[in-house]
Amino acid sequence: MKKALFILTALVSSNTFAQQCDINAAQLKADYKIINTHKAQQSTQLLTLWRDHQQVAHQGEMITELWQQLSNNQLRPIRFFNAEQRGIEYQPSEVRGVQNWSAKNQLVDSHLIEKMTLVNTQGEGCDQVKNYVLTEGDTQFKLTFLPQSKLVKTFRVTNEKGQTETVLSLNKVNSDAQVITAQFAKLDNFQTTDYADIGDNESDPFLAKMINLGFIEHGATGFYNQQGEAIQGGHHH
Amino acid sequence: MAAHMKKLTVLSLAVMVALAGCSSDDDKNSNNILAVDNPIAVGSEQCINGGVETQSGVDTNTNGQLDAGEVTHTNLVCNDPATSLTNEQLASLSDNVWFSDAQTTLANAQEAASKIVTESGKAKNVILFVGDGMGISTITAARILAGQLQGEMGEDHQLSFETMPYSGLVKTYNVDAQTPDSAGTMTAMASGVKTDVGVVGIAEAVERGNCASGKGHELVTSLELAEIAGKSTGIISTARITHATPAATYAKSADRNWEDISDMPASEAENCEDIASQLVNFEKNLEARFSGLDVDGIEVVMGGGRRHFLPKDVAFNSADAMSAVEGDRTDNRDLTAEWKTQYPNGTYVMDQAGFDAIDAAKTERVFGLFNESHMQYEADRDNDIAGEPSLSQMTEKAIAILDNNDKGFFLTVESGRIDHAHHAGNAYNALNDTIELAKAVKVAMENTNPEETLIVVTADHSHVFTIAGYPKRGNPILGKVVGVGQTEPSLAADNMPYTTVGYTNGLGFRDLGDETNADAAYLAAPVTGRVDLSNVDTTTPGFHQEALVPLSSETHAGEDVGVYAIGPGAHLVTGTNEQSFLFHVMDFAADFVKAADEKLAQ
Repeated sequence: MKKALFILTALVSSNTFAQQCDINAAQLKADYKIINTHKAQQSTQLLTLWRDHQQVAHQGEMITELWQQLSNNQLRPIRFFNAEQRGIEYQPSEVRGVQNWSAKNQLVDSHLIEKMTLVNTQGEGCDQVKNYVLTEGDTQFKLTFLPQSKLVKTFRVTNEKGQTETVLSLNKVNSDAQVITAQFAKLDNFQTTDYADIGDNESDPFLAKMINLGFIEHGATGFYNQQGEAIQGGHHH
Repeated sequence: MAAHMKKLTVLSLAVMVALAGCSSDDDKNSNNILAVDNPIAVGSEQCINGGVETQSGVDTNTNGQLDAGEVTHTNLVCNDPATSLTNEQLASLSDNVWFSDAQTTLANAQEAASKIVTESGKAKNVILFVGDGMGISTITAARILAGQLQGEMGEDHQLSFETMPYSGLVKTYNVDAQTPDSAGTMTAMASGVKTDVGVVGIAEAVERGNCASGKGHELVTSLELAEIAGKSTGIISTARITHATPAATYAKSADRNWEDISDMPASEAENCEDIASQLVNFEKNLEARFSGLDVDGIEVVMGGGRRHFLPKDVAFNSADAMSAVEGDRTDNRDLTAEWKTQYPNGTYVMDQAGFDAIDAAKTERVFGLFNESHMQYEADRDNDIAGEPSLSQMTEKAIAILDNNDKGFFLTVESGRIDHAHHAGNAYNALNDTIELAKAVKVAMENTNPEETLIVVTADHSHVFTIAGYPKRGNPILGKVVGVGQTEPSLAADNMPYTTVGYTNGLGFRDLGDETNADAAYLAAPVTGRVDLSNVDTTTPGFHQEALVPLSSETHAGEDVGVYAIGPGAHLVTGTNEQSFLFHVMDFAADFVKAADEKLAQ
């Protein structure tokens, strides 16, 4: 009985808290800017994070990567090529997929956040932020996180020795369900091909290009390490 | 065995027989004329088989010996070639396992030859197994891996179909392509006519992607002929059942990718039917093609590709769905429902539980779609959402259903994902799926009578997969090369170890550990150049072999593939033949065309 009461209390508390922020964290669009700096050189990319419940998409200039979380917790990736309106579907990969859903859904892996030190909590409602820091070797991580919408507000990864810095900053959030639904429907209407079938379609100019030139290495955003994995710090596996 | 060996008459073994040289007493007569016999050794210039040289002359100095200066006449008698081995020689051979095994194989081959039925039409049943992309090197490596998984060294292991009495080579090229694809190659096997790459069930006059150009050039397949003849028919694949290889048995499509209507340009969809629809409408279409024909449709269909049979509507998602919306069809047709309406006594299944519940003895027909797209790699089956049967399980169930028909059956079984694993540069899955295919063939051999069932096992094409280096006997086939007499890996000129199996092109090196999904390697670009494998376990499911030419997908190869056969008509599977020849072997064995003609004439 005590346990049931506790759950009920927790639900009420959660609802009360949620009323303070009307953003639906499960269905939203978030625009980001990514600034990569190496010594004196600097490059800027735009990234749009789309969430629609069990689907999340990272839209870059050329590529949109979509991840579907399946009922058995596997992740099924689809890579869309924006200009060509084509897509490549992949079979779900199990272990890493389960671990990385948070990295896809909120751009920073929850495992990394767990390792970080909470400095303070500021603000209320949708604007409430939690500030985290972590230093691993030569790399410093500094995160400002919006817990209500489960969005990164700013994320700074600095390596002083390597003189590199990556900064991810949130520009705008849109929670219009119609906009979100329309975007996923648009992607769903792109012509897609199974990754396994690419090798049998060398006569298709788009797929022939895939075969001969390969995929763009670092995905949609550039917010990946050299192994094509989302930046998550340390040697986490 | 030894007693049998002694009866052997061995020709041309003269050099092996060391005949003892003759020696005779010197002959001396009253006139002091002497004659001396000198034995000539085997292998001499004078007598290759040995012999005797007789020298004669007068012993002028009366010393009792025929000196060199006294020889006045020489006579040479060479031995005849040896025609048999001595008991000692026979024993040394018959005790040798290679020799005795070969003799057993020889006896079996002779026995098989003596049982050849040259008359056509003796095969009541025909089963065609196709390993998609299962080239010769894949079979060799899979054979070794299968043996090693059983604790053997592996090289002398035999996959089930390698025990079949007849085999040959197949030239795989398409009419317009030196290195082929599955559409053109399976069309050749299924219809007896080679065609263009990418085209399913239509002769070469068709222009790929042009629906109208194929009209009037549609081919007739062995499955259709068997259906007309009144036999039961079945199709199994671990790929989508609408994929090129299975599709070539039942569909006519100017493009292999027209698997459902959403894959077709609107202009083409107006006049041509997508592949999934053709499968469900198979009976109706065949009857429409031949006036007065009445057939009962395909009894067994099992594979992947559910998305091509369902509307693009989340309401039609199955419990096994991967995508947010599982179906792809944009014409709002639910082909699974249409099939159920058409065959009210049929059983539609989509998962392992449904499959297991099928009582083959009481089941008239089955439509099994076990995956939204391709079925899982055999090593990855545990990761399927709703569970799915293996290729060997499907084969056993299909035969149990099809053999309910006294007129016999025709069944095509494709292991579709050997090809996909190779495309991903992952030998582990390619070889494990080949081993599963061999298991399925074994099931077929055990559940049919070889006197009335022709079983043919082949591939549609090869891959750029190689077995290289000089590894010692029993070296793990997925491991690094360790030389004869060595315990540490051999090093290449770059001072790094290398694997026995590898690819000429493709994505190249990946080390994904226990990842059993070969497709999980895509995120990174192709790896060019060599990688230091010193601390990498190359035998894990997730290891992807190095490749020379960087491509995002490893490619098919153009060399011949093997074909293996047992049963009536199997003796025709010999030599090097065009791929289209295989249809004609099956037709000869089962008289498909003749029986169909007779049925149509009624």
